[in-house]
Amino acid sequence: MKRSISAILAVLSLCACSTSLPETFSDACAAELFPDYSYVTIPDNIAPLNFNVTEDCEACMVEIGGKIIKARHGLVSFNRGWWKKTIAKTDSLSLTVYSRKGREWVRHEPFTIRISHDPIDSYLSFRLIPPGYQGWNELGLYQRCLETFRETPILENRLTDGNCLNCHTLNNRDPETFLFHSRASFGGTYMLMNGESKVVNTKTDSTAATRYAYWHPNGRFIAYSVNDTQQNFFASNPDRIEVYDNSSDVVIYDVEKGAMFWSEQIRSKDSFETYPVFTPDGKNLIFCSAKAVAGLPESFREVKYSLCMIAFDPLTGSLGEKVDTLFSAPRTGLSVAFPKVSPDGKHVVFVVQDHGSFAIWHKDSDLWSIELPSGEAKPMIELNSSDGESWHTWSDNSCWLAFGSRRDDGLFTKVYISHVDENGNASKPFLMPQKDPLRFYHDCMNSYNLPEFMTGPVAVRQKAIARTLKHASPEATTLRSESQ
Amino acid sequence: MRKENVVFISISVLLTSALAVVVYFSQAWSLAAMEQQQLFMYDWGYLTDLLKRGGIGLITARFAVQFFVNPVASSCITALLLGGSAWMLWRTVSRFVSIPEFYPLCWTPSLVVACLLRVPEASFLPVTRLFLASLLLVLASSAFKPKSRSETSTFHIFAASTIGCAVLIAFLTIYPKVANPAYDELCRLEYLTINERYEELIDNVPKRALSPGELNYVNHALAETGRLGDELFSVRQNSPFGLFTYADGYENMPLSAHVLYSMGDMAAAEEVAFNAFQAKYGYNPSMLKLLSKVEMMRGCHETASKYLDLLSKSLYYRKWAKQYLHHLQDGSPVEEIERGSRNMHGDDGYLVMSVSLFSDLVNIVRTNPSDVKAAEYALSFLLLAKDFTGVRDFIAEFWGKPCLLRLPKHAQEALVFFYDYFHTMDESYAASLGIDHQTYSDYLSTDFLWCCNHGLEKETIDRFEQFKSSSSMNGFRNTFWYYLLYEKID
Repeated sequence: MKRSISAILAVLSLCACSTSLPETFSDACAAELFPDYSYVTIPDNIAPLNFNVTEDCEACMVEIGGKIIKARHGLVSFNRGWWKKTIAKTDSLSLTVYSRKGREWVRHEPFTIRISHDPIDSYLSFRLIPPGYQGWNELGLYQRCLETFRETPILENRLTDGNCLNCHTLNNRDPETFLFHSRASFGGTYMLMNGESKVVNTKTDSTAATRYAYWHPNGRFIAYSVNDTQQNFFASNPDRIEVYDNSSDVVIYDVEKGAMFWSEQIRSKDSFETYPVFTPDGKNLIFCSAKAVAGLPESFREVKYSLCMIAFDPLTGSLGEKVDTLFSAPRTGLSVAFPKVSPDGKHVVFVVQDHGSFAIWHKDSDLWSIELPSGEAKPMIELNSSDGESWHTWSDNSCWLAFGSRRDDGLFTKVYISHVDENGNASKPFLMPQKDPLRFYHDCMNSYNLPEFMTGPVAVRQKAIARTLKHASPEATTLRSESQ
Repeated sequence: MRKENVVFISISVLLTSALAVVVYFSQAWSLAAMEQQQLFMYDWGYLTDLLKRGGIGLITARFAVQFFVNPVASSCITALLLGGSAWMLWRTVSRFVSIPEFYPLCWTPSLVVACLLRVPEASFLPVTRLFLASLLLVLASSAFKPKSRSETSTFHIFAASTIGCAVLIAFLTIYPKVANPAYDELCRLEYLTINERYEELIDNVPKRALSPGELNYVNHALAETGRLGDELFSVRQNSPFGLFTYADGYENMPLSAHVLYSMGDMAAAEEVAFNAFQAKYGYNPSMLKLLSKVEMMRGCHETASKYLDLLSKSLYYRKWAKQYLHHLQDGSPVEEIERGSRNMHGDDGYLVMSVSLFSDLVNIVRTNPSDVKAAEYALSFLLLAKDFTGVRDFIAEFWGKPCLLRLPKHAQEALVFFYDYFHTMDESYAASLGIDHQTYSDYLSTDFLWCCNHGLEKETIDRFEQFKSSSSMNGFRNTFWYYLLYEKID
């Protein structure tokens, strides 16, 4: 018996091909890779950064940290256990790609991947939606564990008669306190607060259904925008679509009282206000505001949003009188959207574009940041591309910024992640890893919409969420003057 | 083999063949429409996803449906599957209850399924049909129950089978036509459109008044064959909606996308196709083809190759996709793509469908003055809106440009009518219609010479004279004049 086992092992060991580096090779420039992970900074808890060598070659292998990995059909795939162990104990990985065409091996210019020991939030939530939609045949909210490749649905709209689901928003990245809107059949805002769920009808006699939301850090208030949004296709513009608001306002919802309130500074007939966010200390409300423009959609280029800030008292739920301008559209001739304040309160990152507020369809949209409290604004050059950058989210430790970008094909938004140091300097972003990234992203017919970091997974099962949406009677919203 | 088995097998083969014929004549087009609701891909990721969601059954179903692109194949496959199911059910039942009269009953589920294939959104109908069908079969079976099995069993099998199945087949054929009469016709038109069999479509237009959707298909076929300007009124029209009816549901979206694409309104076609390419059970192949072409026109080769790669994984669309991928790689021109590309290089601030489709068409013709199809569609809009003044203005702007080197017959009819109408109208009457002096003078400036210099031909002038003097309209039903004076716009 022992002999047989030994014989089998011997045969197996002979059969097992031990990969070794080629003995002779010539040197060449950097290899073409997808995604381009060269010189990126990654967290030490990220899933393996598998990549594809897209060089025109017959075989290739990669040397990384003394290990040689043979690519299968160009795919360099790392063992998860090895990857986890390796990146936990090093600050940098050096990779060298070898490729063979005919009998000639080529050694490509090595590159490094820097490892940051600032951990990234373990989950990212997003909506998957086909680009360019007006209807919504098939979409859903999903969560992706960034430490693995596991992607699971939070709610797919096949469970809710194919309706639209949008604007999922978490309070401080907490998966136990979040909301999203459900449209058409089962219309209402689904809210999960510390494990308890309900549906709220945020429409009132004075305000239409709410759209973009942001939780106050104390969980009692939610700032909403109320938008009358339309979209039109361009006949011959690379931007393809212009999404614009015929009108928009910012209102605040008191979760405890189920009441809506506002002041004329955030809800004015003469201006469009949108994208409200609270500062992490909860004492200010930041929002975008543009002078109202008539004659839309033809006059869409005249709509330019400034970044504004108003004081907010969380104890009384009252807004200040004075509106400060953090970034002025009239002065710069530019328009801002999607402001997000880092959890440490040091930086506001937002999108800057020529006009309008819907950056997803603007190829010129770039990420900018303002340092607080100095107010100095600058473009985040490392993050921007020739195509559009849009929705972004800060990690809990303010060290990572995930954002949507169309840089790869100009149409399908993908999630890129970048490290941001304490001075607000961003590193070269890396594409959210996948098992087989080239195949995955090429076959993916959806955009990654509204990425939001989460400190853990949403624990409520999607069937339970669907049941609540279908059967719970939506709570009515009153106006604060009526509720008091 | 026992004699009885031979009889049953023969009957089953006969019934399956009969079912194939019935399915072909009653359901081939709706089955073809089903094929457009999915894209079966020979791709490991796609197959494993199907396996996870519905197992081998789902994969088999999706695999079979890909062949529905051919109406004969779809009928044969459907009949074979249903006949096979009935046979297997009978073999199972006969092991427990060896009563031959149950044989027709075993066809019930298959025939009910055949019935349901025609219903786009099955609701309570299946239950009703199942009940009715089962009841009929049980009645048929019991009515012929033999007193002595040995003597008359063969006769009873034949009798019960024939009567029961004849009733069911009649039900299968007639009932869905009553339930949804327009569906099959729309499916037929869609099938002919996506397979570019325009001549066949035009040659087989029903004589009855057509719905706006049906007219969209017919007018699209006329446009694709370059006959819209000359033969628009060969079919009874009733409004500009006959050219384009905006999709109000998923079912109509592919049609809207085809028509907009034909008009040269590529961005609007893409807008609709973005919503239509996700079909009920996967990707809609014709919409993927359209999106690929529009992306190529935009010069977005990366995105075009995404769509083309999906199509290249299918059996039926592989060849087409490979051909376009080849064009992508070597940059060789495709006439269709070239034409569309020209329409995508105009005013970068122009938003499609924001004012009206007619405005889009004028914008397209201004951007690309060689786009004959767009010009014909624009003129047809004006004709169907009975706007002969608009026809005159359009001719004034575009005559002599590559898109309007020859004036289509119906546009000539509108032009000669315009000339005659205003030259026989005195100014006081014009004023009573709200036409001011300046406008009146402008209309009069369109004199006979102007008309002749802008494409009006002698044949049309002679025909118009006949029209004016004729007491019967029978010979003029295919003219703009008849439409203008006698057809009520919906």
